Amino acid sequence: MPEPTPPAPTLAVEDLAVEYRVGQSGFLASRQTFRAVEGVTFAIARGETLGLVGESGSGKSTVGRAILRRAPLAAGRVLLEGEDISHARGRQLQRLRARMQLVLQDPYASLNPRMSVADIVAEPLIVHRRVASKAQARARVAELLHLVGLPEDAHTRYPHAFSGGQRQRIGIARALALEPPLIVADEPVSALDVSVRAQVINLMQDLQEKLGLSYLCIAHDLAIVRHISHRIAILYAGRVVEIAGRDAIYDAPKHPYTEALLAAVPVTDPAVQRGRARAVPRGELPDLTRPPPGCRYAPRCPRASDLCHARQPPLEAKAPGHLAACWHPG
Amino acid sequence: MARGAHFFDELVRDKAAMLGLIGIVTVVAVAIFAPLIAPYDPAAQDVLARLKPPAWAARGSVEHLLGTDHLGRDVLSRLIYGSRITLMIASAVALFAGALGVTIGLVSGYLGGRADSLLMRLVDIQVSFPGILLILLIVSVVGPGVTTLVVVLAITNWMIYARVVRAIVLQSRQSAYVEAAEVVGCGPVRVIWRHILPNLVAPLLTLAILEFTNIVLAEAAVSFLGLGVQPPATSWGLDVASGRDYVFIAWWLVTFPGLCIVFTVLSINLFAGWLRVTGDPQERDKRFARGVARRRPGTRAARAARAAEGAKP
Amino acid sequence: MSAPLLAIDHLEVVFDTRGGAVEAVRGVSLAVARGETLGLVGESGCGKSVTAQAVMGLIDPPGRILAGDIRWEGRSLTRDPKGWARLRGSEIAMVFQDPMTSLNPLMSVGDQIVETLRYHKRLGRSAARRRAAELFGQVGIGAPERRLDQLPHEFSGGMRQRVMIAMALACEPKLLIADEPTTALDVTVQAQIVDLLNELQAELGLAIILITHDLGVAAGLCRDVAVMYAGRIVEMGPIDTLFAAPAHPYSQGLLRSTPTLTASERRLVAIPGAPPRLIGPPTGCAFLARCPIGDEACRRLPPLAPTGAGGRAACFKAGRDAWADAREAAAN
Repeated sequence: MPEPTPPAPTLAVEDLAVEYRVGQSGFLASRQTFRAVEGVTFAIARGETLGLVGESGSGKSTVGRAILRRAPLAAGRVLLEGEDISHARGRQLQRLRARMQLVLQDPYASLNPRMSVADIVAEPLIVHRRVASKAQARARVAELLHLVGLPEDAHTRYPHAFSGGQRQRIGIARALALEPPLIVADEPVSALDVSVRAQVINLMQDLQEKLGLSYLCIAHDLAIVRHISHRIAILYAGRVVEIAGRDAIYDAPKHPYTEALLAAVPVTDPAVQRGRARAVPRGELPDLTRPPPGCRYAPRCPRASDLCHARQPPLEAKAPGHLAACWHPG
Repeated sequence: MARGAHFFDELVRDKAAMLGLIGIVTVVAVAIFAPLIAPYDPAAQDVLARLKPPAWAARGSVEHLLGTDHLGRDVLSRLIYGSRITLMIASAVALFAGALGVTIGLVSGYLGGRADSLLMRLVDIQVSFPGILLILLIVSVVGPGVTTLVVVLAITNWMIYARVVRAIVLQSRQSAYVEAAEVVGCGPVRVIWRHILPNLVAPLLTLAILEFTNIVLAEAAVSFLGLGVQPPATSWGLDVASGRDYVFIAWWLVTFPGLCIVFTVLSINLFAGWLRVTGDPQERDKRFARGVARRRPGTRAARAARAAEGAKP
Repeated sequence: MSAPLLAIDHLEVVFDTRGGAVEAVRGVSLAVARGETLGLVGESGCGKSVTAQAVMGLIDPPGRILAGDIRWEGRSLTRDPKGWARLRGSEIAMVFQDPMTSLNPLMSVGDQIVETLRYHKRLGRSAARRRAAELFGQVGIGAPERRLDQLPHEFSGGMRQRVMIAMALACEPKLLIADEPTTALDVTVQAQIVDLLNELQAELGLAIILITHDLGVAAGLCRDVAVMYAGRIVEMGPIDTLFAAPAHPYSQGLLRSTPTLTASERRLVAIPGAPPRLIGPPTGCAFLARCPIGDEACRRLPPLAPTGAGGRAACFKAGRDAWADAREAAAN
């Protein structure tokens, strides 16, 4: 009897690269391109959350947009439940949209102020013709609003009548409407107040358990994704520098940049916070139109050697399930 | 209708805007009820009563309140009927130019890329080409008339709509909720219709009203040149044009139609200014706060001090 | 006892909007001594930034100061608008969240600082430029002579914030108000800016009011802290004792719901609900609707009363562990 093949992961990204053009394209000016993201590979299993952490310029949002097919792929493949979607276009792409959804950062800007909550949440259902009648749409919207913990009477009101946390719930309800297996959450809580962040993170965890969702959770700081992620990938200047299970990242980071990110997270213990020796990286991100030949973090890295400046370290296993791209892992 | 009542409340508080609205309503009412109001047929000539001055002047009579022109036609009646054609042409041009400009702006802003460059160059060319020259060209080929006038004025005035619409479309395409709609799977038609067009309503309304005044003036200019409205029909612009030969011996022939144009344009501008502020929530709140400050019991001096220092009253 | 550097007395600020009067600040009193570092923490809309704007005399319509007084070294500022305007930018300086909006994009940063120095300090052109370069060095901008001639967009976010700090320091202020100075920055850059503010504070003996929603940032910089909620201070005191043993249920909830790197609970403790509307806010304790231990008594306004640990809290049940049940539920 043949072995049953293991189920394909919800999302697999293989050697993804995204290029942007810089400067004006004219008749005479030569177009300069740079790779905002390069060689990004990871997979997300069903019911799993991958935290994708990086600072501005790391390309973390670009990765999210490329997966959603809103940024063009320069190289690599994106597989959704085993199906190659790297080159989907037109109708096929439109159908794909039902299977992966986005939760945006700013709950104030991501909801059309002129549409009622019912219209906002029902929009995906109508666009993908999942409901036959108004009554059916209304019933499904009520179900969704209940699922994300919004009051019954929410559907007739407009976004401005809700607080930031409630608006983010509306955004989540919209993303859930088509029951997608994958949700890309681009900084879902960083625009929210501290006391409300926890509500939204808890809600996302509950929904994952209930519906078996997979999340790609993009964030700029390690503290926020700690509670929600099963695994975490660290992105620096367009490359994954480390990827491992949550506890391994927080307890035994291998890459010096991960160490710096951890050291920079502000903690609420004044004595600890004052006494911390900071491994804060000096300097700036490298210019990606002319990336350094070696490790991209080398110019800022306290452990950098000649080897680091000369050759790019491969992303390889330093411990079981713990990959890092560093010649001198910690 | 609580929202409407709210708007009206705010309008009543703003005296200038209220005057503007009253002015607009008056002009429109006059145009609609012209046959009932006008004392004479505007085209009826009376050779015996040529160039009569207004009633209050030395040789004037109450039969012709605003005097008569060189053919003895009643100036007041001509103004009343003239408002019809003037308003009709201005509305029609605002509508056609608006429709053309909005379509081109939407296409240009939404498609972007090559289509955008092409359409915007078209706008540039049209803007840089002297409008009056184009009008002369078309009218001399097709011949003057009200329809021609509407068409040529629409052709020379759509560009501003295209530019404004394109700018707003580009801006709203950047907004997160448009991205959200596209990720949800909305097609271009739905994105434009549900998510972008509603943003255009308030600015377009304001723009159309302001443009309306431009068209009234343009119509007057073209008719003044003899290329617009043709006698025996009449418009304010034509009245000014035909009165100009008599400006030294019959000042009323140019003055009254001129005043009508000024009155209409001013009314519209006052009202449009208010409308613009009302369409902008931030400006609207500021206006509201100024109103509160004005009504609050307190001395004028205290208020002036507050305005100067930004400190407490 | 000499007067504190800055004293705010029962400050009330409202914003007139079409929906009604928004009571943004509802009776805030606090004092800052020379060289003191005070953190004003709270969530958006709690009134912390409006309080700072009031200190700077920057409340413009639709806002207005309804009541209360602001005193600088014992002198009332609200009764002396001219004196207030003189203080602003010289003795009291401010750093904002988004440095790009407070810099002129078309003028080199050097010229912008030189202008400030010439206006407030009456320095000559070359003296002002020397001082500007010195300030750049002080805030950790390398190659100051060259960077003075650059335009704001040639600086990264962190460097721009350093420029803003240099500008704020130009007139040797006694008080620096920093309104979310690190919020728009990356975490590693945030840490650099906090370090810089710490160094400057020690070096120059500045008093700093740090306005932030990030308790961790306050922990790294401030000796004292005031927690604001719905326009009022609900708890204040030395930061070490307050963060170690918060007395007010809101401070407790805020500290517990801040994600940490070490917490062992599987779930975060969330504060249910959302802050009240500030148009006609509740007359009693504003936190009552979200408080797990609030009761009928809390419909009256609790006074800001001393707690055992040297701080003060506005709660009838100050010191009780309000979230014990919620934590138990989260642990299971």
